[in-house]
Amino acid sequence: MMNFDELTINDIKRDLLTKKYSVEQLVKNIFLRIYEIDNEIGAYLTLCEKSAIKQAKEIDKKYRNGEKLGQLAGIPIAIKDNICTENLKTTCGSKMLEDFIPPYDATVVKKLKEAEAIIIGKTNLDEFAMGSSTENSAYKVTKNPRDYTRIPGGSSGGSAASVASGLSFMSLGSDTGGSIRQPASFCGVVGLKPTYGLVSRYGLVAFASSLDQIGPITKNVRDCALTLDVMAGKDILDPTTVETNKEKSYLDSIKEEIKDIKIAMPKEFFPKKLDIQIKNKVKDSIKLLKSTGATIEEISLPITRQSLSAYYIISSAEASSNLARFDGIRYGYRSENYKNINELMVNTRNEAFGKEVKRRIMLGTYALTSKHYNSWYNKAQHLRNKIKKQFECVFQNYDLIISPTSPILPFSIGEKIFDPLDMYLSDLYTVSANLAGLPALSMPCGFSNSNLPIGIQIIGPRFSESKILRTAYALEQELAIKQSR
Amino acid sequence: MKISEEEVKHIAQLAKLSFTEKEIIEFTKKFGHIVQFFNPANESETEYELMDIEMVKEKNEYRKDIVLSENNQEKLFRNTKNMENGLIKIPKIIEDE
Repeated sequence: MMNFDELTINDIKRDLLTKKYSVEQLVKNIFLRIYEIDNEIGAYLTLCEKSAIKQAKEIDKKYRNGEKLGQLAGIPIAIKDNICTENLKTTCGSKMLEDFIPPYDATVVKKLKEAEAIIIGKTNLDEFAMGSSTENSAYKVTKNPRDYTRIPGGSSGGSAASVASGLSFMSLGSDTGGSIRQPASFCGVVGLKPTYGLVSRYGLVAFASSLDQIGPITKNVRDCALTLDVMAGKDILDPTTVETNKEKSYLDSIKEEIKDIKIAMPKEFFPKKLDIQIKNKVKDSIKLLKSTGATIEEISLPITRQSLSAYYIISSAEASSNLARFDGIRYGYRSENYKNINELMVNTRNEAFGKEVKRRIMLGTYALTSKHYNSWYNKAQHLRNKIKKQFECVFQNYDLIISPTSPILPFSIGEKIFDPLDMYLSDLYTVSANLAGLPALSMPCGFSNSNLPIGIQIIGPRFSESKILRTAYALEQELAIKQSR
Repeated sequence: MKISEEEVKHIAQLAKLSFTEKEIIEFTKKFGHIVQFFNPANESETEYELMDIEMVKEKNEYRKDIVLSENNQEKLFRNTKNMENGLIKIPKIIEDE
């Protein structure tokens, strides 16, 4: 039996064309592997083996008949469990939606199905995507495939772990404050949060609507570009999406040179107290980028602390409003213990929401009370505007910004779960891109002494995904060359 | 800024959540730290003006009001508990005099 774990989407497409193996073999192998190791890792919440094998057979037939195939034909993928999949349970990692079966597909899911990707299952997450470790799931704790004693990051921890351990070849995550990039960094894979408005949010269970974006998690930059080509574009069902009218596909643009690229390195993202191993690996990558001809200069962008404050106030405020829909009346969990309508709502929410979700709803409600609205919510919006303007200033002179993805290495399971504030600090470098609606990518740039993955983040102006992917691809090539030396 | 247990109870009531007395004590402590940390008044930014907030500058884009798919009530309401004759049953909202 051949080893499928290390394959990329590109490898599989090539192998399927040369009939090295069939889609059915590939899919069956994935499930064998899931039954073998996912008990330990815990990446998946729901599996759909029957439909996956059925679809695999159909695609094999198309291959045999030489029919026209979709861009992702036969590629086994995983979907974060806060993205709606028709007739397939979507729990958001919450007891609130333990038996919720969406009556429709999210637009991204629809597009992936049209590209003939095969959905293997739904992946674990922090409840309603609130968290940075996937420990806040009501169902299980996902482990980091690189080290089972550590967390995979979050909230898209199951998605990142599934790709890193070869249990899917692409997975969808959602990123409100770093939930794609931080787990990608912790699991040693590539994760992209697209520009706000590039990818439809229709069918994504809303956490903070002005910050949420769906994006791909893949093994390498090329697969990321290919998947983004499938996912991006205007959707009539999400009025915040726009048509980009780009000349080239993302996949076609990655191979261009990066000699003309000017990159800013904000010194505030490399403070003295930053983990020395992270600092060194990121700086090594920056040197590699320089060697390819890119210009890199140190700048000042003093926004990290303000971003974290603005992020937690705005995201919690929006969450408190978005999660008000879970009242036990129309769908989701319903308490059996009530005498009147108020008790029905309160008991339903009390019994079905986890601790972290309650904490965010409380913080958001607090920030929106008439007493604090001006000094909290309005002030946070003001900070958000300021951050956006500071980014705009940087992008007048530079094409991209580069930083570590996370200020810390993947931490141990249980290490931060009782200290929410400490957990929030792990989002320090990722939240600002969401506040400003900017695209940002995390890719692996090396390992710590204890063999834990380290991620580097590339942030660009709105709709600069091509440039980000091109730079990431160049760096990936350089890192591979360096490794093989 | 210190948060009192009374304030936590009030916020919980607004958010349609409730805590036991024991939970309130623990929650208030942790919540107090969080609120203190994120208080925007900590930020050195002092030129705060309400007028500076530009929410949305862009013109709203409306789509044409056309029927895209037929609504299938049975499908749309399949996650609803306590349905009867196509209606959702809930406890009485208006109390008797």
